[in-house]
This record gives sequence, structure tokens and C-alpha cells, in this order.
Amino acid sequence: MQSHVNAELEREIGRLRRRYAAIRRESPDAQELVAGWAAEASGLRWYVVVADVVEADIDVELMPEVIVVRAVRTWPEPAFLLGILPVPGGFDTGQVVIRFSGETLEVHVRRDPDRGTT
Amino acid sequence: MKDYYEILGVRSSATPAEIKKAYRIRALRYHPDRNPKDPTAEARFKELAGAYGVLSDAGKRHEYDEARENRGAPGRGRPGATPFEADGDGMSVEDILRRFGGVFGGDFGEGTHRNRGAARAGRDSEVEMAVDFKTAAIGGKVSVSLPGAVTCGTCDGRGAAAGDARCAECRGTGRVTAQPREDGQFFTVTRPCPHCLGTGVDPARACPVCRGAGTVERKRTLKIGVPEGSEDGALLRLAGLGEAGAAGGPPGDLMVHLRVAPDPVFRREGRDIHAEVEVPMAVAALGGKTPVLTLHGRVNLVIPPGTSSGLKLKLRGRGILGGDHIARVMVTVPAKLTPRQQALMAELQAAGD
Ligand SMILES: [Zn+2]
Ligand SMILES: [Zn+2]
Repeated sequence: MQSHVNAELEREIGRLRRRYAAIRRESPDAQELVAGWAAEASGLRWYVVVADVVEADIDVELMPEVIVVRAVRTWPEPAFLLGILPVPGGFDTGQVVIRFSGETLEVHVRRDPDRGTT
Repeated sequence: MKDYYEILGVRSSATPAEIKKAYRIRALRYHPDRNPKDPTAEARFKELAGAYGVLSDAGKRHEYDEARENRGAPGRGRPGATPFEADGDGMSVEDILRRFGGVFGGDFGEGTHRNRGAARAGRDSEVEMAVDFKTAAIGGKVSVSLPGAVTCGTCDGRGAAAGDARCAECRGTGRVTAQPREDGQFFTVTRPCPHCLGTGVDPARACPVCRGAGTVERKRTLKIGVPEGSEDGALLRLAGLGEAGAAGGPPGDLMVHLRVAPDPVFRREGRDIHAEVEVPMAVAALGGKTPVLTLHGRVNLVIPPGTSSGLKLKLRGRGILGGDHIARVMVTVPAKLTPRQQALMAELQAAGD
């Protein structure tokens, strides 16, 4: 049952990732951030590895279907880092808790019963 | 004497860049603003600054390394005054920030990210398109309908009738950025402007049709050119044919997944087409010509005398992209023979082989 839900989320995340690929094309030199997600009872949790970056150099943009993480790294060489985190229906990017600890940015998106049926 | 390397958590052979990185990470962790309830944080923050003040300066680091060396093994050295001890410990947080603040970065993306305006690239569209075997093989045009954002015709995509209608709240960017320092967080969070809902257009002056978005959702029909030799599962990426961008942003791309149905007659193998051709018994025996249907129309195939079923005959260049059409002969025998045919067959059998 859980794996079925995850497979559905995986598909939807893939679809949204393709849908918002233009965000990546806007910054052709950007390095893509490694990100993973987990579905929880309370919502969707994204984990983004933002290594060698200070917190003040991270910007998290919340959009209805996608969260964009942009970061500037100055060490060991300057780089612009970009992470695109799709948020399928059923989760609300208006209700997000973000934490940065060590080198991982954690973005928790609450479930929204009014949005989608996931 | 404090071990500055230990404080920063680096080896004594660490490069200046490694030292800087270690300081940045630790100093942010113990920044007093982030740890208002932890009185030890400030002391730790100052200790880090002290260590960094020494190790980031090549001259001071060298002096410190010599002093550290002379001290010998830990625990045996005399506790004592070195010129380094006071450094940092004696500084206020403000002094530290003034001196090393640049290390923390900050001022994130000013000019590159915050001032992007409301322009947004259109989303990419994705559609599955059924294509018949022949069109996929030799190319052609196929119509496909899909929903998505198109430029609003009423305001021409500007989101407002005319003049300066920028939202005052976000100065037309459609986004508001906050740095939630009070939560002890130092990153910035950008959200759609709550006043204009992300359009960047003053709601009071927004286009009544698209409400400032500059785009409207609509079903559109496109004629897609299918290239010659397309295979089932192929993906066509058509730049600029995706959804319309907002506020002057470029359109997205369209990705078309081709679904090619199998054909009852033709079978594809790379660039070659395989098909069966029926050859009447007499033509097969005596040789001659028989019409063959290829992707490129009907052609006459030369049948050599004594052809049996299963023989493969090649029509050069009649396949896909210069490939061949390979006709597999199926000799047909009339189901019902006329009395004359029966007689001739009997005669043929008697003649032996
Ligand atoms: Zn309009
Ligand atoms: Zn606004």
C-alpha cells in the first residue's frame, strides 16, 4: 500500500520535474543539487545536500507546484547550485517548514486535503 | 595554550581554504543571533574567531605553529601566555562580524535572483501522440491537442491594460523575500507576493481576463512534424512549443512521446522493412514480375525462375532512410483448379523432377 503511494508520488514528481525543466535552462551553468524525498503521514519531506555553502547563501523559493533551492558557493570554487523540488498535488507549499543543519537543507511540506487526492 | 586547529576541527596541515570553510560552518552554528538561549554559544563564537584570526593569517599561523611545536606533547606544556590567547576572546561580537563578516557571505543573489522581475519561463508540456506505422517510417505531420497556458490575447501577455500597473508590494517582481533571522535561520525564503498572488501586477489594474497572469489556460491544437524513421517510444523535443511564459518570459518546450502502432503488413528492423509477398505458383516456377506494396508505393518485383516460399528478395532503398524493403516470398497455390489446370498439373507431375 505504502509502496503503491510512493510509486505514484515518484511518477508525479518525475512529471513535475520535466514540466519545470525551464527553471534549469534559465541557469545553464548551475550545478544540480542532489535531493531526495520521503512521504510521511504529515507531509512530504525533501532533503537537499547543500555542501560547502553558508546558510546566508541559500534561497528557497516556494511556488505552488515546485520549490526551487538556489545557493551560491564560494568554496572550493565559485558555483551556482540549483535544486528543483517538485511538490505533487495533496501538499501545500504555503505550509512549509525549512531547516538547515550541517550540509542538509530539509524542507517539510504539509499535506493539504484541499489540494489533490494523493 | 588553546589548540586552534582543534577548535576549528581541522588538521594542522589544513589549507587556508579548508580553514576558512571550517570557520564559516562553525561560526554560523554558534552565531549568537542563532543561539539566543545558549550563553555558551557566544563564548564559542569568540573562541572560533580567535582561532580563525590566527590561522587565517599566514604570519601569525607560522608563529603559532612554532609555539605549538615547542610546547611538545599535550599536557606537558606550560599553560601560558602566548600572543594568541587574547585574540578573539577580547573582541566583541560586533568586532568579529566587522572583521570576518565577509566570510559568512550573505547578500544572497542580489541582482541575479531577486531582481528577476515577474518574468517566468513557460512550463514544458508533455504529450503522448499516436502515430501510424507509415507516418513514423517516412515522416509526416500529425495533429495533437493539449491543454496549457497560452498568452492572454486581451492584454498581449502584459497582465494589465496599459501603463505602469506594477504591484507596489513586490515592485512588480511577483515575489517577496524574507530572511527569517528571528527563527535562527539565515537562508532566505521567497514566496509569491500575497498582494498580487505572484503576477507582479497591481490587482486593481490587472487585465480582467487573465487577472494579471498574462496567460490563460486553453486547449490548443498543434501540427507536429514527425521525422522520417521515428520509432515507438521516441521523444521529440520541440523548443518553444510548450506553455507560454509570464510577463515576457520565454515559452517552455514541448515533449512529444511517440506511440507507433504495429502494422499488419510491414515490420521494421532498423532501417529495413520486412513484408511478405504472395507470388502465384506459375510465376514462382517460371520467373516473372509481381507487384509489391512498399512504404513508398507499389513497385514490380522481379521473381527469378524456380523461386520457393521463404526466399527473401531485396528492394534497395525502399525501406526507411535509405534502408531496404525485404520481401519474403509466399508461393500461392490456387485452392480450386480448373479441369485444364488439373490436367496440366498432372502432366507436370508425370514429367517428374
Ligand atoms: Zn490578460
Ligand atoms: Zn505583488
